[in-house]
Amino acid sequence: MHTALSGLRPALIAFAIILYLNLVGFPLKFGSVAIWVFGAVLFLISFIVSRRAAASPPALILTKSLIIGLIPSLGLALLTYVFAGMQASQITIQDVFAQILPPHTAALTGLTSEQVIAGESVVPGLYNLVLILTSAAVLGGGLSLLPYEKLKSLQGEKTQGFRSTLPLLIPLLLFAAYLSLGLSSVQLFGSQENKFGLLLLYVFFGSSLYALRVIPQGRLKTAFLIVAVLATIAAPLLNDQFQNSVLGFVTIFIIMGIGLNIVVGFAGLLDLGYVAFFAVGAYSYGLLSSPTSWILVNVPGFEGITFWAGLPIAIVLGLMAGILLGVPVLRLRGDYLAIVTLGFGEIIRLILLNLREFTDGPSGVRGIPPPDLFGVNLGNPRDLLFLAMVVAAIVTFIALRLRDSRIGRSWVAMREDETVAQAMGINLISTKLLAFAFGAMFASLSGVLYAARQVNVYPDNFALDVSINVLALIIIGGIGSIEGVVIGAIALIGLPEILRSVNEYRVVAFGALLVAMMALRPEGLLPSLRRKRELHAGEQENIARRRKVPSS
Amino acid sequence: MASFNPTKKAWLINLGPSTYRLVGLAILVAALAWRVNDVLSHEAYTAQYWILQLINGLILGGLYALVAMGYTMVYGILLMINFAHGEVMMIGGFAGYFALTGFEALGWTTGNPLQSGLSVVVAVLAGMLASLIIGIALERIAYRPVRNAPRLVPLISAVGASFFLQYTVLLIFGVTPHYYEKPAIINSGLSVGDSGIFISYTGLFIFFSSILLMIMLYLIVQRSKMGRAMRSVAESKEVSALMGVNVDKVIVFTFALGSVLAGAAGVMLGLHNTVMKFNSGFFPGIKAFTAAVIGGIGNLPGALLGAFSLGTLEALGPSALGLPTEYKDVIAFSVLILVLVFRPTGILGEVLSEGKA
Repeated sequence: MHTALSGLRPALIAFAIILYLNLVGFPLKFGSVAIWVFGAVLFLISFIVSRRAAASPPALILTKSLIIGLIPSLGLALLTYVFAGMQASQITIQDVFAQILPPHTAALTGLTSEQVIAGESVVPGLYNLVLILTSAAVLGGGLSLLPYEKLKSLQGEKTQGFRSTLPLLIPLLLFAAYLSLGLSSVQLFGSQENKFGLLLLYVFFGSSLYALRVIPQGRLKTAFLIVAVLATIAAPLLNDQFQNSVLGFVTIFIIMGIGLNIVVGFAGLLDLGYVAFFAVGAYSYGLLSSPTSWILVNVPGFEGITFWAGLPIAIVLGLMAGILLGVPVLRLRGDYLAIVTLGFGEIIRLILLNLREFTDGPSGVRGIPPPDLFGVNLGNPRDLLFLAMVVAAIVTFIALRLRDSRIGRSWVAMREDETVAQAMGINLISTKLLAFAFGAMFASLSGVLYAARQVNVYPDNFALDVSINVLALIIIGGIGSIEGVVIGAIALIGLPEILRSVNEYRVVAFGALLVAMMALRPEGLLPSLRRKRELHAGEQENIARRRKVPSS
Repeated sequence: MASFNPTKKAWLINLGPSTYRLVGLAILVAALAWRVNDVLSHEAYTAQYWILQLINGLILGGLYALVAMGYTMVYGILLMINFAHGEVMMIGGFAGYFALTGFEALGWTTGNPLQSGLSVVVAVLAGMLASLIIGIALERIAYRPVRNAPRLVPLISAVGASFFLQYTVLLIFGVTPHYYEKPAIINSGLSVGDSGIFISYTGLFIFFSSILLMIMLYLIVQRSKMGRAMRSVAESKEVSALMGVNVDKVIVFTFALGSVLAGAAGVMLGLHNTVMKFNSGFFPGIKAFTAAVIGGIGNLPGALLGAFSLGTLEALGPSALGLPTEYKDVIAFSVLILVLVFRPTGILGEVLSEGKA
């Protein structure tokens, strides 16, 4: 096992990762920075592999990390050499690999694109590349030899007292940083908007929620809570338009997430067509208020409703849609429910798209009026954000009260075991319908906010990926937990907005994150305590089972 | 919460389960029959039109069937929806495209029948191989680590893998659609007499090769040693393990089998629609899953039946109901919901939706 050859497998994995990053166009997008990214990948892999085999002699570890460095870097160099040769003789590679353009090769070899096309030798650049990547891997192996255990125990003694106040200090420091840095425009990824301030705010929200979880109950916690709430309320006043607009979007998804959390997290009904109710809310308000909608054009004397009338109407319609979907699928469980709800979500979108006379089909509902309060137009990002925050606060309160109520406990009982729940006197039909109805109501509510924010809505805004996004955010955040929804929405909706300039890689990273997260931390970032216990109990059981039953 | 007394409000849904559902079904069938009759007496569709639509439906059904096999086998064994199966198919389609482009550069696609026939076969094989690799990697990376976790976890992992594969293909091969060049041998079609009925050779190829592949699959599952192991693992992983079945190996084999069929389907889809894009696999994938559910998931003949019914309904349904063809997806999903409401087990399925699932 502990021979130098055992470095071959990690080396091949490292090569696969670097080949992947190369083909999806890292060098084209980031220029020569890509080399350092590749180096970091090799460093990490070699470090992790060497740490696992820390007991073996240093010479062996260094040989292994040399293999881990050499194989991927030589492979990459060979590939780049071939590509450069093809590019020099005017063979177009981008018909097959869209990202392999001359600048791509140039970034890896330290030449300019013109030099690559002119056929200048790439060999010196490639020597350089191999040297950098291999030394990164060897460095990783070398650093793994340091005595980390001793270091850790030393640190633990010194910082014990500091550690308990650390969760409190981090959010406060972050907010202070946001106050001082946020107003001047620190630029991130070369964009005009103040994305750095927004990033600080995200981390502030995240760390505050974490702090609220770890600080013991008491005066300190109450004080911290007050400060955090005040800071949250103050933030929209200090933000610029872009920041508020992104936060508004995040808040709309928080409302949806809280609704879906009731259906999936509390009641355990897997709903993949949640976007249908979002669409019901947005379209009901849009069709009743947009001056170009069929209803306003064809009903004489009807001037359209205001935002405030739209809210209750959307709630009622969402409730009806929830029950309408709920009744036929009551008997289904698990994946069947998932697939039927998925179908339902698609049906709603397809109907909105194809019912041309009534909904205007793909051209959507246009010119939806913004809300106004006593004659003050609230149609700007800051006021819409405040509005969404108020709705989110109300929805959170309702969800928390529901969770602790009799209905909430029947939901949990039903999720755990339907048969036992029924035997305990829980009416499965009404309990399930209530879960669907509440979920649908919240989604419909957020749909109205969304319509008012977007002004124009189109059927394609209500595609399957919205449902998937909401589901993913409650799972990443920690299913069944409301703080988890906030964290999830920030991570999955808010962060990608900051990363717009590397748009192409967003979805790929999102997919990879979901897979990695499910394997490493399935309970989510801030799980509900009950869920966490369940998942870990499951693991113990499985380990025990695997030991008992060898699989071959 | 007195109002949620089970005895009071139960009439909403639960009044003698079978009779009321039957009455509902009868009303629905009557309404649909009336509508179809109405449309048929007013619209001037010729018999030729219907036959053409039926042929289209059968071709589509053949494609769905190939993909549905993968869903249904994986579901039967792991009880999870392999959400990324449609993407596995799409990658097969891309591999087939590149193989065909290679043969085009050699001039084989327009060459003599032997050469162009060979290029079709090799393209399908290339698609199968690419899908096989992706399918096995998918199982190893995305599904094996979460195999014993609660139900939601593998599903989310699958959704993540699906996004990852789609956008990886987008990044590596670009946004522009890749257009298939049909090899000469399947480029024309067959006219039946002078009735105006025309069947493209592509359609014939798809239909018969999907039937052939499914017969092979059936033989593998029913007759081979590995097939027996698969069926036993589907019954119970633990007991199979005790009987000396290597469960991991069987699961990998299942994924491999499903992926190979999906790869073939991907190339055929490319030949049929003449275009492949990074998201070409998603909707056919969901439709194929629908077909598997309609037939009764976990049941191979059921998936076949479901796929052909879905394909035919999609092709004939919109015209028969007097709706524009854009409603074919609405019809497909409505059929799914109706089947699950009135017969939750699917047409041929075992009782899964309430028991095992």
